[in-house]
Amino acid sequence: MTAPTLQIAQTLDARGLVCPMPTVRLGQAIRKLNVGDIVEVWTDDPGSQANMAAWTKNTGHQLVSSAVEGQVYKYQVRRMR
Amino acid sequence: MLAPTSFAPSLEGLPMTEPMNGERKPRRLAIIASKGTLDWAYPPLMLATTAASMGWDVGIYFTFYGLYIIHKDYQNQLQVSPVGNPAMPPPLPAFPQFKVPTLLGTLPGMTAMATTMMKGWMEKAHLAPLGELLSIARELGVKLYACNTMIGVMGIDRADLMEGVECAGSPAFLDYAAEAHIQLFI
Repeated sequence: MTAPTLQIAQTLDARGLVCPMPTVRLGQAIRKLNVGDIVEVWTDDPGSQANMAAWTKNTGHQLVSSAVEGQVYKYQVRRMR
Repeated sequence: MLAPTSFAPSLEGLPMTEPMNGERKPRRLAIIASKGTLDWAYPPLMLATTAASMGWDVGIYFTFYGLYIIHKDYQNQLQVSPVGNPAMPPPLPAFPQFKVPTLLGTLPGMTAMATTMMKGWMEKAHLAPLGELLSIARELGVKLYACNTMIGVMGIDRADLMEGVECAGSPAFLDYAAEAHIQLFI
């Protein structure tokens, strides 16, 4: 699946934050968005892939796309409820 | 999409199972926080904020020295002791072979030094200070219970506990924990 170009409502720069802070910050941020909005998370946590999978599975929010650019992982998450 | 890993078999099309849309009760995490040192104060708060950020129902029951984590006057003064902790990392990362013998940990000032060191590491890793983690926990709806009995035994004034803390007894906590998917004693 190639990710379509999506409107990003918010970019959350969590680079430099250790686990669990990126997902905790994501949890704080997504509550302030509207349902359907997308937040893009930037993190350099090497464990973030498994963390984001677990986080989205638990919250029911949708992981729209994931990518890595150099040391930085970028995840787009859509608020579903 | 990133390639699958063993922890994250497929990121495609998540959520894969059981979205929490109100048809299902959220998962619950119940933690007892019984320690009042800096190193032991973090795990309950890190797990609690993580779980709450995932939409879980989370409660922490503070008892014994753990009560100082939610004590207004003490929460910023929690310390870590090098005494009896052979895993304490060396003070100078450039000289890993130079470890402080645990006996020296008993000297005056060593606890303060270890505490300063640990706070430095945490700051470098951008780990939120305890007070901030607690306010994130409250923002995300983590319930904070203080053990009634130990408040009395340790002579703590209820007015000195941070806002949002509820006093409760072990029957109330056990009833809460019995419905939890995960129960931890820390």
